[in-house]
Amino acid sequence: MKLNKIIIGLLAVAIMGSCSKIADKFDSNLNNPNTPDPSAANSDLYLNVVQLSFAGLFNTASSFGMEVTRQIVMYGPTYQNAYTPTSFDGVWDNGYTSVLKHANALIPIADAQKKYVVVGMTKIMKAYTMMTLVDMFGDIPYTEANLGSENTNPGVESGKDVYAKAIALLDEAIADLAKTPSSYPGVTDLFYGAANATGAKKWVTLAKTLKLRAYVTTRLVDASAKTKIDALLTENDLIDTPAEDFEFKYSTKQTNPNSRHPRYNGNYSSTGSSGDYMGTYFMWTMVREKAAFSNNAANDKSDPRTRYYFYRQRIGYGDVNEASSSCSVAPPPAHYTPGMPFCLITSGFWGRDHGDNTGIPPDGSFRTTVGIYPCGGDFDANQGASVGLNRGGQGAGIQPIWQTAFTEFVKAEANLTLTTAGNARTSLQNAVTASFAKVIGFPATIGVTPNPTYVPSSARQTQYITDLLTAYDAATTTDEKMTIIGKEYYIALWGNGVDAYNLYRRTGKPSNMQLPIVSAPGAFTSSMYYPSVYVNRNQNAAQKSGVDVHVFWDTNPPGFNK
Amino acid sequence: MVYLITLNYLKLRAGYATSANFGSPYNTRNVLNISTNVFVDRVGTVINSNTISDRLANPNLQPELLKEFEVGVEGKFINNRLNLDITYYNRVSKDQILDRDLDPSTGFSVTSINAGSVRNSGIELALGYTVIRNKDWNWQLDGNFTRNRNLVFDLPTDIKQIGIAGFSNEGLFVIEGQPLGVIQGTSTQKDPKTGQRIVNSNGDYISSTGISIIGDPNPDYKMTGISTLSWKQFSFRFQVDFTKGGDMLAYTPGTLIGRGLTKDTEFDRYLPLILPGVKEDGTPNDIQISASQAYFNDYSGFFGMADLITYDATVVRLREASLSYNLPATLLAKTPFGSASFTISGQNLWYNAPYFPKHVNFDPEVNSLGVSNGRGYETLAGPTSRRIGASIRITF
Repeated sequence: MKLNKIIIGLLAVAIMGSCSKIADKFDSNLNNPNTPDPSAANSDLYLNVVQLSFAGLFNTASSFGMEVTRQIVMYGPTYQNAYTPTSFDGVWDNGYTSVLKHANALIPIADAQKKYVVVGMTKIMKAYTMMTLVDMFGDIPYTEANLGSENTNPGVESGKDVYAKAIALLDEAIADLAKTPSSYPGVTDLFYGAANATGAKKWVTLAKTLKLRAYVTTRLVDASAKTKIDALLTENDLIDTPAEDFEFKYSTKQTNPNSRHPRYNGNYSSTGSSGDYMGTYFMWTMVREKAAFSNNAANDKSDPRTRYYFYRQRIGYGDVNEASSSCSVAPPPAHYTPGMPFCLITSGFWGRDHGDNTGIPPDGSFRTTVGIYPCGGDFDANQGASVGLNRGGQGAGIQPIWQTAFTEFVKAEANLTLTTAGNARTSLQNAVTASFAKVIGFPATIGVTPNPTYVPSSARQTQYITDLLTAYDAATTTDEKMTIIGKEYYIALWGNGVDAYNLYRRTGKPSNMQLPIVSAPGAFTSSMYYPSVYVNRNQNAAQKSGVDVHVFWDTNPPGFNK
Repeated sequence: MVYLITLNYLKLRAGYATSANFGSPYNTRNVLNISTNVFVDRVGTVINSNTISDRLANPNLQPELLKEFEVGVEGKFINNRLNLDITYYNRVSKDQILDRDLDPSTGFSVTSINAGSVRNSGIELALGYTVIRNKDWNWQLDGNFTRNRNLVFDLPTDIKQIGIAGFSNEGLFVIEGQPLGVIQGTSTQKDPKTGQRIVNSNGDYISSTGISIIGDPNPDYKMTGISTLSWKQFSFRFQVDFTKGGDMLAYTPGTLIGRGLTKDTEFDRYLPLILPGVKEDGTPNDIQISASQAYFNDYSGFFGMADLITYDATVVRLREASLSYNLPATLLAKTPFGSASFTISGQNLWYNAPYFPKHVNFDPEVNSLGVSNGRGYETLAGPTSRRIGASIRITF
């Protein structure tokens, strides 16, 4: 009997053993034969997807920022109705399932291969992504996010904590970039092409500049902001030359694959009809507010960047009628203060007012569209012709994620508001000078020679800066000075709605923004609604009570922004 | 006793069946996608990429199990002139394999799961009566009645809801304790005291920030009536369908009336309108707005508030009518033909969906989403067609 039991037991063990062997044998059949396993990934190819989706994330986040800050149109009509939660599904999806997921997968692989520059680059892009998501939404999932099946309902974490972790990540990146790597990324670095130690240094400079940016952004809630900023200023390893500017560069390739600037794609179409409406206020502030624009270059006193920023399809208002521009036959809204821009501005600048949700008229071939900077469109030399395929810079635009001018602007702001080292006036002067050089020098970098008649003379540029500094010197209070710095920073930020939106919430500048055209637009969008994909698919998610919820670094009172 | 005598046929039936369904293969392992030529930079470098698939593998996926129980009675009475068929069924699908959309903050956007159970139970009733049956005349009436109820239960506890058609914030959803495919979307905010819709200071309704259940696309019941009348070589047949209830979130009517394109808005549009409802302070709305504003901003459904464009999809329809003539066999005796007939017929000849805006003439039978579970969600589908045809049928 005993023997029988042992035999049965042994048999049972043998059968079970063989079963598990069978399972092992068939287990590989569960792998899809058409696609490899993630363990086969190549770190360079991961780095490519992180960079491309990072550029995409910036572009999307920037578009929302440009809309609420009147650089391009927000249809509205009220702030609550301007966007639905689904508007943000794309940026959320791109952030988590593309940038963060692949960054998380890439960092350990690159680390094991001692590709420390790749590790540093990835951590910097990851940190920027985290901060951008906080800037848009406030509290977001981070620690519980990107865990796959381990947590299908990630909970949120305070924006403050995520920011702290992002800054810690920037410090880690600086440490990683200080190590000697097994190889440099070279052409696989789409931003700086870091092929050697000198190239890799630019990423260190970027990381430190992004820390400066973060400290200025959070200065209202950080008592130690002055100390931290002063430390960075003393070290002085910040983006202060055009070669260090952090920009994603698009090419002129139209198809297979379309590698042009997304905003060029949407505006320079074969149908001769542009897609985006420029914000009436933004154009007005450049061509009317300080000095008037003129089609005659000799008399043109407007902002020297105007013809680079915008391309007018018509240089006059001959095509304006009640069908193509219904606001042209309407009086300005009763709640507009005298002098506030409304509808038509001058010389064919044809935009759309803030919060105008009326039907789109047949004005696609007439309205003003993006110019050569930064989208790679056409330089406005009074052509007065409708847009078309392959015009101007053919889409070889840039995403101006961080530039020398921005560093100088935040230094000016920090000096003015926190009395950090430096001189706000000098920084303002440097900033505007750097912005002019960047914008006016831009066509040459993409092989375009603008009509010299309309290229602003250096005398005109100097005059602009002289007038600006005269106004600055005449300003007596910190707020008045900040109004001037904020307006100039806002203008220089064309194409970077992320920082324009942060600037407006943090400082309330520009202070004379055009009001939405409805008299009761509701509270300003101090943060975006949570995306529908998050609220409707995550048990731990709850939609915010309204768009007036402030992000953690924005301690300004309700009604601060209009 | 009379009925007993005239009972010609009686059958009682009961059945139980079970079967399994397997998910599509390769959903249990994560995969890597390789894309080539995703970007070309300014110096012509071609950029390729590796991406981790957005489909999260589920290594624990099990087959789904279907169980069905059915009982029925079939009988023929009065010289086979009356026939009757009644069925009751109860179908349970357990561990249904469904795609669950994930919050992208998990790092993935979709995964296959065993998603709880769905019960379908209902009654099917068929009744037929031969009204006239003699040498020249035959008139047969048939009726069907179907009533189905379904319920989702045992949904895994970590799931908020599963979208089965539409978008993340609008469409048809699977929700614990609800019928399959309930319609969710944004709705107008309502005053908690009076239940009236709230308007803002511009005179427009205010949209809710989140989504909620705004309808159930499952009809209360469906009925079909068929009449077949024949006289000598002629026969005339028609079929009428009736669907009671079932909601539909439909964009076509709102799109048309929102732009004032149908006679529904053919009133004096210079007169101001006041939307029924209350202001935010709870007092009755007295804000005058233009007809264009009322219909474009509010009744169109363009700016959220999907409850304003969700309608009761009750519909009655003349599905088919046909008239045929069969050539008498005697005429064909000397020809090579076995039989010959001519038919004129029309399909979808008339319908009326009384709860949709009258002049839109909307047919709730359209479906934007092809053959799917998408009944009840319409996003500008093409209209259904009315078909009229004639045919000649000859056999040899």
